[in-house]
Amino acid sequence: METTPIDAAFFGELFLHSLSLWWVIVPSIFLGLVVGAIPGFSAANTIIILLPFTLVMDVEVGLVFMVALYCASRMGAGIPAILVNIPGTAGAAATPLDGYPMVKKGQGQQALAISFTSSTLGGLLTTVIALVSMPVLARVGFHMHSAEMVVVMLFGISLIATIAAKNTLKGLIAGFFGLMIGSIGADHVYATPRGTMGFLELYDGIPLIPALVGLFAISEAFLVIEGESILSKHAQDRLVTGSWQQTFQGVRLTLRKWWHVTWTSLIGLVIGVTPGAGAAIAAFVAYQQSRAFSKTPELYGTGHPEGLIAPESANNGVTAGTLIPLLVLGIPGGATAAIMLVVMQYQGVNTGPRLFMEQPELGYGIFMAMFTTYLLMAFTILPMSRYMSRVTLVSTTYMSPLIIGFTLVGSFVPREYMFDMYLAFAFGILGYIARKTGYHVAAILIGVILGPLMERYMLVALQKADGSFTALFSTPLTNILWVALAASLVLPIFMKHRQRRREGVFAEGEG
Amino acid sequence: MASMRDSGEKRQIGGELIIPVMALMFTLYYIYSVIDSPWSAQLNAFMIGTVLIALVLAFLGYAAWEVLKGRATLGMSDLLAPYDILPRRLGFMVLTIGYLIVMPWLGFTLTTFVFMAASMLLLGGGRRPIVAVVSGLVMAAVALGVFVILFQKRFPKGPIEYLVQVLS
Repeated sequence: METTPIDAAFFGELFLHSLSLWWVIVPSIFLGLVVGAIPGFSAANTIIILLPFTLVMDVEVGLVFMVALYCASRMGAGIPAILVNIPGTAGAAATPLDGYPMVKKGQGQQALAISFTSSTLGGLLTTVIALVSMPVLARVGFHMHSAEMVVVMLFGISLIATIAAKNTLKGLIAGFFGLMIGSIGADHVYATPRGTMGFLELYDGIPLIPALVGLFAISEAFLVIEGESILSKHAQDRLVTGSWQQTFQGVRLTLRKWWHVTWTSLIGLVIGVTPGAGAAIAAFVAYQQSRAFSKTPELYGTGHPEGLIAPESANNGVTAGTLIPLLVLGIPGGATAAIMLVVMQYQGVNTGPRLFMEQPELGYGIFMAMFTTYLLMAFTILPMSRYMSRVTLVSTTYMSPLIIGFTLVGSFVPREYMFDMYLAFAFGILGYIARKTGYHVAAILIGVILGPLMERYMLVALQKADGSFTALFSTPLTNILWVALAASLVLPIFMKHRQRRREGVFAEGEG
Repeated sequence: MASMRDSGEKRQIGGELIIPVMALMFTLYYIYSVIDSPWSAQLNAFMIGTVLIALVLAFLGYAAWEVLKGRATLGMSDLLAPYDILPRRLGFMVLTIGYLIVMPWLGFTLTTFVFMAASMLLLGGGRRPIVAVVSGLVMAAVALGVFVILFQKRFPKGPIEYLVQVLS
């Protein structure tokens, strides 16, 4: 068999070839943006609905369509998260923490530009890294077992403690209440119903979309009616008189923070490689780490650009990571990857190492299509930031009913249960009470999202070791992760202490 | 802590107690629901539940101390204020729950239209009724087109959905 040399010329040719597929990529980008922005309408859902079309397309065109849709939906989910505090998917749940406060300050255009730029850069960078280091990264995913995943989950859950820093007791109550809510459902070993209140619809656990839209969007709709607009008068004036300058400022600011984009997107890549882990975990972990090692952690949650860059870079870093176990090992890392596997198998394409030996132009071509998608997104989506941000000027008289109607519909879509709409409303009331009385809804949501995953990994790890907790310290990788977790929790305190001492010395010197 | 002070400068912490009380009640129910289950089902109840109960009791103790010392009251103004929009907010919540209750009878499209138009009229104080009705119509039509016709989602059916079914 004649083997294709994998060199610069090969990649150059692949790039030009994927550019020639712009007619698939550009419409997929716009479709992906829309489905990403609608809560409950993930890329996976859309690809399933459009599966009959993908199966009759040429395998390459079908895969490019799915990859472009997947990447764009990641970016699309951030748009409503920033503009109206509604994360389109769980992967964008950490985006409004700083994105929405920026909008409230009248920096919506800049926030969108930061989100688009960091998503694009994060996606481009991780795609390149994935292209050159696929075998190594695939091995990372292979070594991430349940014990390691317990520690990764703890990285995300420790964000609760970070949020609780402003008010320890209330923050921890919110976080642990979220973890408790996340424990609803049949247990993972014997399927015993727990805390389901007799509802069969809760046996699979708390569905994420109703929790997400309820805590963020519905509570927001009940809150914003206190004013005519979600923006202050000053912020409205700033937005109305805003020019392209705000977009350029957002781009410049993100480019200046290139190192921040790099390491947070790498977090996304590594978490994406791990089968079963997803963009939500990556975004929370990246946000927590970004805040932990920031020189200005006190600004997080107030509309700090770094707090927006971190989750957006990370959740786009996940996209490249998710494809690695699929293509290199033949193990789908998530729902979208699983559907891609179906299409590839239907078309008779082998996944795993043979793909790169027998059809390298297809294996590497998928990543090149991802690279091209991110590149085209920079030119097609970025100019829209100025106009998209105008959404926030709509009066709350119209905005609130639209938010409620839109998100309740979104919570119905994934499972098609009326129950989920009631559940979203219940979470909306919970979120409303929490926000009005000083409890952080993000802390509750982190618990709801990460709690069940943490429990599942913990149970598997314990069962492998006959119930012994030593399983959590049984491999070198686990221990490295434990040390990293401890360092990420302790180092910021140490750095802050040192900074205060320095400031004290300077103040004394000046005095 | 988020606080609201009345004229006597006392914090009103009644609203702040709702979440801890809900958390406590739910945790106790959760523990009750797994009391006879195998250890794997009880893991979270005891690992997370016991910590949560301790946190809630600490908060309740703190709140009781503040009230006994005369520094706080059990008022709920932080939850209910601003009072001038309270009727509209409650009305909006009632409309939302009404939307969900009525949907199985009237169908998705018609209820969406009624909910949108009624909510916009309520929040706008009855101003610009034509805009409210047109916005409701547009939203309901888009929802019908995208979710029912295009993506074939099985929303509750009513007169509009049956009409579309007959026509298609």
